[in-house]
Amino acid sequence: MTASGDDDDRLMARIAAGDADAFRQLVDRHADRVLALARRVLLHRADAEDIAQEVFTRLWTRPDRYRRGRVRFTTWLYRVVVNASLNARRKRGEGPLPAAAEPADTTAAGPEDTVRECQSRARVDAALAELPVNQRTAMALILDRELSNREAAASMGLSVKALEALLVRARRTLRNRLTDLK
Amino acid sequence: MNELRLQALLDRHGPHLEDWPWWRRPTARRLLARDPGARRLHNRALAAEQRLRQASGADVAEPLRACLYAIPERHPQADRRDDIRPVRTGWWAGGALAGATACLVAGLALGTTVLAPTTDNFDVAGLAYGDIYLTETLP
Repeated sequence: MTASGDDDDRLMARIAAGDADAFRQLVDRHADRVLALARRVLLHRADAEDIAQEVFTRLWTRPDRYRRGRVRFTTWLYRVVVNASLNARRKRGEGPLPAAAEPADTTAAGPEDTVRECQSRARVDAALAELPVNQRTAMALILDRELSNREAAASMGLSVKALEALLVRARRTLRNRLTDLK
Repeated sequence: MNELRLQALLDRHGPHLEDWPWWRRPTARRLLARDPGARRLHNRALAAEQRLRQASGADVAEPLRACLYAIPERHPQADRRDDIRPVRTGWWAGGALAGATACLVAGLALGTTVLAPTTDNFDVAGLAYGDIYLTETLP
């Protein structure tokens, strides 16, 4: 196991003992990725933030759900995020999600960059929204290269072959949609 | 390997060769070294993935981070114990008991009807097992 994997296991053991400082360290290590993953699946930042709160609350109140040694911590964590995100979608009702343009970062260099960023994000969101949710989830899991295809498949409860089939279809669709994006 | 095959593998494994299965990397690297078309495909895949990552990601803003940090205060240790639901044994324990009872009843039924020792010519009275009482008059 990698050093970071050992760290995550140690932090989870301390969280199980009620160590709030260990919990904060885990938040610092993984909150960005959790939020990014939820946002890529749901395409809505506010909903993704709700998911992040739900996931970390569950992590604090039910640390016993993580069985050390069975899977890597991140594989388990991202599975929790995926399930929570898909449940949230189901509660809202199925159907294509609106590709809401997220407000651009106002600390960007200038107004042109802000507009360009906004447009780029809107195009990417629109392209992602066209994907079936399972393809979008597969892409969301592997985009940051934290998980191997095998681990991403485990996070989705799929075989590696099934996950790679989703990735192939997703990448082909996105390539056609984003070819002229600067 | 040709460009078509390279594109298929880029779609399957992504644009970072270090993420590919190890046995595919040398051939891909040789193709990229000699074929400009292959390099275009590879660069396009790299750029697309980077755009996707940058445009679709999210960083945790301070208000959310503060909210996450406050979770232990909102769910103190005592509440965590209460939140941990006890293992529900009711439904399966009841099922196991019902199953065991059913097996016992079935066993008793089999033992006293189907498997009950029957009389034969050598043991006309059928009393060999000691627990059968002759109740019928034999022909």
